[in-house]
Amino acid sequence: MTDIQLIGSPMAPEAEEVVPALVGAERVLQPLARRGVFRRLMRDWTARIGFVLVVLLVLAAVLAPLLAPHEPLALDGGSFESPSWSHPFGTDRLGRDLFSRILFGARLSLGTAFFASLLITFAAVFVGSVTGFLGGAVDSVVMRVVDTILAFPSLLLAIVVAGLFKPSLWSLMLALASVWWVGYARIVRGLVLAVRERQFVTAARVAGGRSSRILIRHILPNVLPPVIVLATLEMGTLILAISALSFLGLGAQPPTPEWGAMLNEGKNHFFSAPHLMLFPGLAISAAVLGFNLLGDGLRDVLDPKS
Amino acid sequence: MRQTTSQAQPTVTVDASTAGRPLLEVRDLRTEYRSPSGIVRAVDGVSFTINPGEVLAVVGESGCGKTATALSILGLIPRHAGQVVGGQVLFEGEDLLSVRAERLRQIRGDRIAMIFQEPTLDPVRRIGDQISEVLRAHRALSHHDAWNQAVEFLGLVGIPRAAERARDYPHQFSGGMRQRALIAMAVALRPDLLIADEPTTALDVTIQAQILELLLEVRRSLGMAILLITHDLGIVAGFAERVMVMYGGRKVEEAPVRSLYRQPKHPYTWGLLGCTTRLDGNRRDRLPQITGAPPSLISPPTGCRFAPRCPHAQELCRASYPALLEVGDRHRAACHFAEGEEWGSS
Amino acid sequence: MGELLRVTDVVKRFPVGRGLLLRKPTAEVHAVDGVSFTINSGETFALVGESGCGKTTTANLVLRLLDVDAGRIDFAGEEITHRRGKRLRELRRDIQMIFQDPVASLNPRMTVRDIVAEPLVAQGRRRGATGQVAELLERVGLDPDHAGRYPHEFSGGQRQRIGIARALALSPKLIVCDEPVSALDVSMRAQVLNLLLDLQTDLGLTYLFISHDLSVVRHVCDRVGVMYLGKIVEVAKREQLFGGALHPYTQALLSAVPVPDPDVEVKRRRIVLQGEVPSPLHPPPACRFHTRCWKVETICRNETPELEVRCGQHKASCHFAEPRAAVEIHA
Repeated sequence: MTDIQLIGSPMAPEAEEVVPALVGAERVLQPLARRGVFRRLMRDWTARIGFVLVVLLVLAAVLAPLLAPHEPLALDGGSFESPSWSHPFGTDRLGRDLFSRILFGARLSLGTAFFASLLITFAAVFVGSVTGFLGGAVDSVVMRVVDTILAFPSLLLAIVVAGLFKPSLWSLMLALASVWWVGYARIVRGLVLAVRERQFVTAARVAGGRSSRILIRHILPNVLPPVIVLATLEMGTLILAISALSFLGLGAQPPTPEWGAMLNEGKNHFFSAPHLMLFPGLAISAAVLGFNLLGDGLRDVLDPKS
Repeated sequence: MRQTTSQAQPTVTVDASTAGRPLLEVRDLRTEYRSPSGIVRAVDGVSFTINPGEVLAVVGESGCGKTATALSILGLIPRHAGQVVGGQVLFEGEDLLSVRAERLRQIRGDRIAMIFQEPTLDPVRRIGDQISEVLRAHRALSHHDAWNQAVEFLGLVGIPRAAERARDYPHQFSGGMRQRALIAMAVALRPDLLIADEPTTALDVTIQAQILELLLEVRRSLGMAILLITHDLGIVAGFAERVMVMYGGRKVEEAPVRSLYRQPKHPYTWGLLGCTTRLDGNRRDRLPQITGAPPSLISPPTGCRFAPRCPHAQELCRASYPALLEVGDRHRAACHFAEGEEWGSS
Repeated sequence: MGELLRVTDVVKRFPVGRGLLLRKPTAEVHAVDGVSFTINSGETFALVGESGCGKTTTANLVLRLLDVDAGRIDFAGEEITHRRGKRLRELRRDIQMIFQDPVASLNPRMTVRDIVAEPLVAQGRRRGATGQVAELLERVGLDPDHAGRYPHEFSGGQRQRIGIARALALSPKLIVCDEPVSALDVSMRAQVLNLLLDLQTDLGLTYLFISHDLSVVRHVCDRVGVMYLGKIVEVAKREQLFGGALHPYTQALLSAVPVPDPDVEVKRRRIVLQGEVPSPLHPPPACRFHTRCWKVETICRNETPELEVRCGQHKASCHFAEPRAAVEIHA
């Protein structure tokens, strides 16, 4: 007997009921908290480094007004000063303190990436889970749209979308989110399809659960952990993308202290004042590394088999 | 089609020069696995022998250490998962636990072969290529000769139109045929010992019957010994000459197949036979059952591992682990009360 | 005892393969092809067969997890073939299921309490659920104090008990048991089978028991239907089937089951079928078993044998039906 691929696994007769909006997030996330995820995460030293890096950056962002020795926009030093006690990272062309600018830049770079990531995740989980769960025509149509968007290089497409608006961090964030969610949605849909076929979902149907209940109570809790891992790993990529687009002048505009924009400002003085590119570059690298290490650690810990 | 009669166990004539010397002798084998909750003592001091041409079955439930024993013999315990921590595995007098990796590789496949529960074939390579590769790894053969031998062995294990089917990929074979191909791969080098770990568990019952018959047939024609690892007492009855029962990482009983089924001396063996569903005999609505669940091997009970579930357990059983006692002709059991006690008729 | 379930000529086909652009199936698997049987209240009816014979698909049709392509299903005197939505959810109170895999069938991220209460909550009976869960756990032999634990903290046998407690939660009339012990170790198997028998006696349950293992079936069933390639080839009471199976396939299946007794195994007359089950994509015409049958004659290749009554309630679909004992011993 040859192996046979069954396709178009017919959707449940109950699926006629429409899936309502995704509610009850606390129920969905609750099991994660209970399983001692943090304790196990801290056992792995690379994850620990990632966690420390991310926490430091977040603290820097939150506490920037307290930590910064100078106003990020104040012109209170000589231009191109090298690192010193009063200006740990030196000053830029206009005499602004680079250290303070990087601290405040953490707010913008991390914040933009975080909100973009949030938007992306919500859109992807909603679209991916509804299409994956319902299947049929809705799924086919939405997924063809997704395929079409995926056919373009995402950064290029984001540049085009961002170019439609007046350049700002907001328009940059929306542009990134509008392009980035599709890849996620595909992954979420795949996860939903896999979980949908698992036996405990059948058990929930036999119990007489409504489709919405099955999706929220059984499928999403098993889909979210990998999505969280993905979102964490993707934070690094988003930070890079935001910096890149700002570097190209599509995002934050001078004098906003965004890391990518700062790199852009520093590029003309690379040989005379390399610290102007070195420190923002290090900040970007630290953020990307931190989120990647943390994401890798989360992946190991959130696997139900562990 | 064919009606056959299961034959009485074939006796393999043993060469006079090697007579009396076991093919494989395992002495006090100890294997540990690492787990997040602690060290799992999967195999805890197991000894046994296999003579040339003999069929020995190792029976037990999941987690009793039967598979770990087989993997330890071949040095196949994954390094990150655990290791053999003690004992000897003497294959024709040579300790496989202390030989160099290169020597072990020579023995593996060539002298000792293994088949697993899940047919493990490379999905992207032709069946014939996979078998000829094994042949060429151990013998100086041209590609052409190796391929021809592969085809010959596929025919031997009952693959129809073997020359043609050798060009197929694993997914073009059914589960039963994949297991046949694996047997062909395992016996192609005419090993002295074939270790079969649950070889039919994933197969349908009519296919299982075919594969078991094939294994006995191959053994008859090549004269190798078989170490069968299984949880199924039904299969063992018609297949093995000797049986060893494992529980909680230890050997609890060992006997020629007939005396094990007729006079089980260990309460666990007795309970296992009693709760096995069967086609014949009187139908009882309720099966006799062993209560409870197998012990944790991270912190196993002191004394007899079976004591917490044993209906006959006494103070002594909980206090000290029973040694293996000779209770009959080649019949040994690790129970303080194995001698003289009748646990009931099986 | 009245009739509880009647399945009449149900058919289920699955499309296979498709072109890249047009989603047109290139072929169909004939998973279930005209299956009929009835189950009386309080009895256990087993559907037996090897993988791909359609027994699990039949179970899913009865559970209405899949829609039939043709045929009709009646439960407790009412047609349920096309029930949907709310009416279908009501039906779940009466028909429940026990799964094969005690790991996969329990949501790893829910506590035992939530798992067992799931059917109650889904049916809007949240009130008093906690107390009921404790009762149910006790009933299946688990400690109610462990209700706050997660499935992975239990052994295989205990997990299967959790699944059984969940199936009992709504006090169903019919429970479909899909290979309930085949993933369990031998010693756990006996415990779970005994539990199922006790529950039937205490609660008057009716079971549809899906299994590939005839030795298990023999211990729990009142009547047995044997399936091969989407069709029932033989139906009989337990004693009839194990005393003298009529269909050659049933005989071969019985003969392939090993008996844990070396003396019997040595003397046993065994039928070893040659070849494998044909593809359900292109089942053989007429009698589907004719490609592997040792009794085959021209008529078997040309005429489909009907599933006819041979004696008592013993039905078989074979042109050359003759009784043979489950374990035939050489004289």
